[in-house]
Amino acid sequence: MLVHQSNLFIPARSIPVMPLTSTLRAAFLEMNSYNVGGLIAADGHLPLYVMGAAFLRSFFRSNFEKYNPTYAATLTLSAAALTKSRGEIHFASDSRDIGLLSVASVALRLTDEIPDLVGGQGGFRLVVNHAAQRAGWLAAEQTIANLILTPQPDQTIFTCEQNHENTDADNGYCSHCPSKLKP
Amino acid sequence: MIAAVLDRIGSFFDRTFVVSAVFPALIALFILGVTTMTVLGFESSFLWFESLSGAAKSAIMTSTTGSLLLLAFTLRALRANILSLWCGQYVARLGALGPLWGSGQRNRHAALRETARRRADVVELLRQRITPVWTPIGPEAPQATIEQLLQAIARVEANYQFSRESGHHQFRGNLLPRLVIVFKQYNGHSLVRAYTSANELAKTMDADIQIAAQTADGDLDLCFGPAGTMRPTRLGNIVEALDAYPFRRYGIEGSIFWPYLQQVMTGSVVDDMRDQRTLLDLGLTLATVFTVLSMIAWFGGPWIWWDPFFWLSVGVASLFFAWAFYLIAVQAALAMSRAMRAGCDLFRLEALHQLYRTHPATFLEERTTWQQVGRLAVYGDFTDDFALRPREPAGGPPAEANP
Repeated sequence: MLVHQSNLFIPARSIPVMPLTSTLRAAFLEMNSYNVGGLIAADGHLPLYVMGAAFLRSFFRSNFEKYNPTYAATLTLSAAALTKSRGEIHFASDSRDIGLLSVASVALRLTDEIPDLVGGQGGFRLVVNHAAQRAGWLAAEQTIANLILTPQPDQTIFTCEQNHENTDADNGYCSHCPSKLKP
Repeated sequence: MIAAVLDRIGSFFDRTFVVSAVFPALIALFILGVTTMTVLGFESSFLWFESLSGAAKSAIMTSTTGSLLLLAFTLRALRANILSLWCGQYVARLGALGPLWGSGQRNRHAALRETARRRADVVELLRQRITPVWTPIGPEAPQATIEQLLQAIARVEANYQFSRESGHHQFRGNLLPRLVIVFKQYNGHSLVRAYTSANELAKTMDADIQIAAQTADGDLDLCFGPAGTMRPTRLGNIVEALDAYPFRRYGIEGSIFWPYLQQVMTGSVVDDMRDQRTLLDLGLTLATVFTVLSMIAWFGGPWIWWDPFFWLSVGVASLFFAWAFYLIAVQAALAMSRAMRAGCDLFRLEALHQLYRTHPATFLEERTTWQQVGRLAVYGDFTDDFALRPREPAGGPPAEANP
């Protein structure tokens, strides 16, 4: 089966690609805007990680509690990746969490056959079109593809003490009332 | 020997000299000539010139050219003094008038410092005022009340776009008390739209305050030197800020090491610096020439020809041009300051290298090194021993060092 015919193929426009220097605040806003449960973090044009909403929320929550909401919202995706790799924060495991996956360094073409290795690698692969432009992504497993495409409002939406919903962590306070946001 | 003399003369007539000295001198003589012809009458002046013999005409032309060159060389020689004059270094000699002269700059500095220190507190203020009165219980707010509140917020927003100060005043003085009254009366959940709109406006105001504070901070760094170096003119303060820049950033004694830095600078930054310096000289020289012309017109003109309105007009026009050229010089000084700062940032390590110092590993090490070098250059203090950069082998570094 060709890459673009597979259920594992995710078109490029379906999930956000953000620089590693993006803040968590921007990341949550972007996931809400795309209505998805994850994003791709890139260094320039090089996609490096797939980050799940639950993983990012867990990282946000730990800093929210440890420091303050403003600080937590301004932390970057690179900080999240680094913290995970150093094992500095314990991330609660969640069945809906894809966590932090790496993007394989070799890209596939839309017309390539799906390689047998994909399942074994556990990560994502960049798929390019005939003009070598980003066409989409190939997930290693169907579960991962589903998880990233399924919105997770409980992870990307912030509710305040009065249960107002906020798409933006902002400065730790609700945009609709003067209450604090819950971590 | 003749070649050496010609070389010296050739180098003296460089572009900077022509632009910043000959050109202003030419303008000064032209204005003096036109003013004299106006006083004597254009027709009679031309008739008088026509009546002269060929030898007399050529003598006049030669003497005019000589005067032009003499004036140009004088202006060139006075370059440093002219800069000092417009930097306000002679204001101290004005005695009691001195402090009055610099009040504009002091006020500007105070205003910038106040803006730079201003804290973005509008969102916080809104939250602080609404938190005590916000309640999840109570009657629902009527739709008409919500609409009126939204209209009031929109009015403040529109006013804020027109005038920020007035917008802030309205937000704090009118809108906040009105919001507090409404939130006291009704259930907070029913007023979510009003709070969200007010919060959005407050966020915009906070963002603008932050931008203004950062801009003011940058202006303070670019336009004013350290405390105690305030000059009475804007140009003087820009020069002081530039002089202090290397020390503020890297611990480099600017007054000692600027020539070193200029020596090692290469590329377009050098051309940019030179062009802006030429423009600065031109602006200041012309400002000086027009100021002198206005003084001549006001204090000398009536003695030659009694027409107060004419001399007053000439003086005012000259002073206006002097002011305009001073403003051009200030802009040139700002551009030159930016170019020289860039040059300092880019070439400071090259200057250290040329001083046979080893390449510092960290920024703090670099600052320490510059302080050592500064002490050596300024006071001859060589108590701190330091390693000299190893001599590079003839023919450049080894081949493997050049991938």
